[in-house]
Amino acid sequence: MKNIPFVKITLVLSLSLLLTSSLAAAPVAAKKDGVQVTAEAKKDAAVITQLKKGETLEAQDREGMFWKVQTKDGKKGYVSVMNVQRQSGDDAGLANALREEALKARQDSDGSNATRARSAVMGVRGLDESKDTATAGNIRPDLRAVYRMEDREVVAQRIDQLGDLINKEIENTANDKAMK
Amino acid sequence: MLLPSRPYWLRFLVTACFAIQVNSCSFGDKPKVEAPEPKFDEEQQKKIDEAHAELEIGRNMAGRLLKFYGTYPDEKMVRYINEVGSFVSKYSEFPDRRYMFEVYNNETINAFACPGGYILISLGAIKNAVNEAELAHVLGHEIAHVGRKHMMNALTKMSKEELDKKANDGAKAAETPEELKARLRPEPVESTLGATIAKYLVGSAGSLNLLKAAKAGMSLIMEQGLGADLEFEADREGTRYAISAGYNPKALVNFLCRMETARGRPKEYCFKEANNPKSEVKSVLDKTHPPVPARIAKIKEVLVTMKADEIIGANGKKRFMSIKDRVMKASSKAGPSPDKNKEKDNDTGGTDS
Repeated sequence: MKNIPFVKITLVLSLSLLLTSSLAAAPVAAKKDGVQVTAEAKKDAAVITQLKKGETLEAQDREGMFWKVQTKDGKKGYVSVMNVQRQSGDDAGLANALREEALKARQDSDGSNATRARSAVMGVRGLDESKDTATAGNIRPDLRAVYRMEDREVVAQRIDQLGDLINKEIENTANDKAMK
Repeated sequence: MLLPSRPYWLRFLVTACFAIQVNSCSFGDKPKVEAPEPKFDEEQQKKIDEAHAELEIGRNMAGRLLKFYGTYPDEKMVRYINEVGSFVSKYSEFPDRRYMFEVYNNETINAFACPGGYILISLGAIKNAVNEAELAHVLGHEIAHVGRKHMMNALTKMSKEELDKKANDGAKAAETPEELKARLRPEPVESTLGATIAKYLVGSAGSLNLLKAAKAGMSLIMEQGLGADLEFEADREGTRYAISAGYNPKALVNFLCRMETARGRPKEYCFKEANNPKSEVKSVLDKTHPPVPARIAKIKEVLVTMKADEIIGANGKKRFMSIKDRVMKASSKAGPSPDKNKEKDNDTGGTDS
């Protein structure tokens, strides 16, 4: 009986489904005190409110160099992308839990034949191009290669560093443009 | 003999009592303690099982594609691709999903998005790109396919007959020579878990066979495609994700146009009217995607909405080129890439009928 692992899988997956359905918008946090939320997506637009450092708003979509946001009292406005930091949310724990469950589920799957010794079948030669893609659909999967994909971990710090490098490039380009 | 000196009747009594005790245990007077059943309603249970089925189908499909094409052996590059892809996915509508990226060893420009988050990008696609922004947009397109469940929805909507037909199409086209049949490994047996999950799937494919679904998915992904509307949607959403992540908004347009100019077409071809007749079918990409001019026209609509002309986006050229240079050096050392199917000792690992 594999009820207990299955219960764990269903619990984790149900949490993931509940969480993903509520993440159409994502929070952005003010990088400093006095970040302005304006009525329009331009520099000299009327100011609706100002944010304190760390204060978050829900960002809907991009419009030029602005995020379309909604203030806490329900007003729609815009905030410069340069003045806020998008928050990644607390999904790291959930992503790890899903990863663990996928690894456990792997043991229940019937991939054992494919992960054992190499097949003795020689390559099929002389296939013409029209049959190649049909062959791909008919072939035994290389589950070992797929498990490598699953086992590969992306360090969260590396993703954050990439974000910082991108922001830096944008700032440098914006400064160069302003100086011209 | 435990009590050799005792009377026979006493020995018999002890043995009989022992036998009765053992038997009464095996009849199980005590109630069995089972794990508590999860308390989900039918709708929730269907969604949970669907998510798990997605993973099983996607794993099978990705496995077939990687077996067919082979993986590109540069772990540093693959890690980089995973970092960029994971970064872009944080700006998608589904940041909680797990996306896994791999580079497959083929020079044609293409990428595959399998259910469950398995995304494969070709070596040719990486060679066609000139900066990280273009890579990010391509990965964003695939992330959109996965997040919006384009493939899973297509498979679930198929009737049983359509599923059987697509799963069997491959078997007729690729017949194994007689001398190899005796050496084929037996068919894999679908897991019990897979069968249990299959019966909970929604729609007309309520008893979707996961193995057949994976094979039918291969037919979609390599031959038929998901349809123009879903490709336009993936372009639109992928562009939004990459721009939100901070990348150059026009990168995907540049990437697609370069694909066409590499075929000898003039740059102006990329920006002709959206109803340009479909180009001569040449590759898997041509068969499964709308023509490039139509795609660019749709992407431009999104760029207008997002006021892309006012956006300053990153290109990440230096980072990307340091990785691409490794690929180009490895290619120049290796010489012209051999046809994989004509290689000696090319192990297909047996075939499923």
